[in-house]
Amino acid sequence: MSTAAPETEPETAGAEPERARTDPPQDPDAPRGRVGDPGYARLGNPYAVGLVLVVGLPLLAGVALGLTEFHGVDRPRFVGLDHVREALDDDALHRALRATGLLVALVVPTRLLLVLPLALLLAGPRPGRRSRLTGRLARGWGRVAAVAPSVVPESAWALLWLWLLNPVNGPVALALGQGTGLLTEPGPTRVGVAAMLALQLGESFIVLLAARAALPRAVMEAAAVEGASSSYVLRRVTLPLLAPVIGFLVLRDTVLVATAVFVPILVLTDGGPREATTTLPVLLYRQGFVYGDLGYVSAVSVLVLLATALVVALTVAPVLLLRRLRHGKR
Amino acid sequence: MTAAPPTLELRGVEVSHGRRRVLHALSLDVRPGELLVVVGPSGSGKTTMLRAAAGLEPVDAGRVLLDGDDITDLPPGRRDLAMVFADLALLPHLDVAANIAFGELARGARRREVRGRVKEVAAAFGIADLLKRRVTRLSGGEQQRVALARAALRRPAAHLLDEPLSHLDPVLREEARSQVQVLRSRDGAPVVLVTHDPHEALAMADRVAVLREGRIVQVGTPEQVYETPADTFVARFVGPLPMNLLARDDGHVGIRPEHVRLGDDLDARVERVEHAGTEAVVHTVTERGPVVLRLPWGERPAVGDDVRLGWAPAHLHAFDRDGRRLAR
Repeated sequence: MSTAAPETEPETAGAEPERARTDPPQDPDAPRGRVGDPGYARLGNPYAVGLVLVVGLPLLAGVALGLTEFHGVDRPRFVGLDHVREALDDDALHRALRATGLLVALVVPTRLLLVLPLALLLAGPRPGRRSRLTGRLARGWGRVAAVAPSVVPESAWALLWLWLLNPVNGPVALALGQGTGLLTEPGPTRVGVAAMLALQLGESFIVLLAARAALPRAVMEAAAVEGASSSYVLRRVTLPLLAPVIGFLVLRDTVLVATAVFVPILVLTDGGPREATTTLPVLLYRQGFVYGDLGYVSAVSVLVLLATALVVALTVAPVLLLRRLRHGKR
Repeated sequence: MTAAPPTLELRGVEVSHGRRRVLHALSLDVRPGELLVVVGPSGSGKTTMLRAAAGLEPVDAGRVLLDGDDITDLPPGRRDLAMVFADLALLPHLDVAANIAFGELARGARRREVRGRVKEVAAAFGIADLLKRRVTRLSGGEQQRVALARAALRRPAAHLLDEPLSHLDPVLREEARSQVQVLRSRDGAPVVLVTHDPHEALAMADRVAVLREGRIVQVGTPEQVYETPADTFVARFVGPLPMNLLARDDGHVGIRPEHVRLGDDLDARVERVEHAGTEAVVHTVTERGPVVLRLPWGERPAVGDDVRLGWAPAHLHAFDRDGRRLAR
């Protein structure tokens, strides 16, 4: 359509980009803060270039490689979906999946239970309370302490835990005795690894702290004036308002621990003892870069990616649907 | 009315933000059933005063009393006060009914027990058919009614309203004034309303308190404040147009624009003429300073005209060098 016809209905404007038509209509009564898309999405365009080069092309190469038998030195040999069939009865892979699931189940809730109170306690004084120097100092150092594990290099964090959990002369062994099984028995070692990962809560902490600070101050004050106790405000105001952020963090942590967390585990346990902490990333690393089975590892990586995408979609879709229903006109 | 003990009283309240003192030994009392409007320009400490009364602002000195009891050290939730915030502070994740009932539910009441009262309050504010709606789906005027209904439900000892009308457009604002009257007439609890708009203050108040730089400059009925302003600040701040101030040796003489006529007391030249409905607002300069007057639109002079201004001596206000009003 010609640009000289501003009166044209969007539906008939064939040259309009697709998103212009799928955007919800501008609603003067729309809740504050939900303005129509002003085109900020375009700011991401340069990022798309990086996305294609750094993620898209390697991903395509991974898919292609997954259809071949390849060990890095020989010529890739096309094998089709053989690797998928192989994966279906690969006991090592299944053990890794179980180990990963167990670790996710330990790390994600633990981290949330640690980070949520921490972020809320370190957010600021209650309405009407004076912000005292001691409080400000405590909050400042508390925040530093909470973020520190996530800003030191992962390998350094893992080496620290290697010392902490050293079964012979580490502080934990000295305190609890040498029979704890940490780093020597599967169960206790999983707990040790989970503790190490759960305490890397700096990023979640910052996100939650920011989300809490972004809650309208007047709303919290109104709740205080209306006579709500701290626990009532927590249950009926703070947590419901933070729910989307908490949900996002749980999903993010789940995906990261299941598919990306790698360095600290490798340094602390190298997947042991007896494969107890060989999670997916550790297994893939070993299969690919130690045993050189690059074709198989590529195939499994793509499968893991697809499975992750499916899980995320199945988690997010109902939420978006629910939100749409709730915000719809009644 | 003057004999009744005050419901809410601030005695010498001082508040600082960092090193900056926002309220200077501020004393103010609110009497049973009255609508007290605290008016002042931006940054005069109006909101801080209200927040100090509500317990949201720690006070450095002074006491806050409610029905004679010292509540200075009580947390906000135990003061039996209700507050309507400038941005209303509704709970965005709850529906209208839950917002109105929030205070009672927070104090342990069950939804069933308050349902009837919620309906009754909602009806009083004309939002009975919106109870199941999420507050984020309401218009500004509707949200404002929800905020007032929330304040009304608990029947607190006093209501504190922080610029409750400022975010409404002029048409809704007129209507919302009557909603504030509903709030007051329901339970006889006094209402303290804070605004930066002197028109609103004169229109609504039983008594007006003028606040400037953290100090109360004058308290009185709208007539008293308008007709006998305590100083030149009040004289210029309160009223549809600022009072004209003419310099003289020992201070200023003031005269309201509506009391200036064409006469023979002072030479003036017309600088600007503004349209104001049936009237013209005529800005002139004189040897004693600028003078504004109102004339019927048909009798307006042209820009650049030389005119002579006059007035009745009874309409003059005298102020000393520090701007304080001199007894006539």
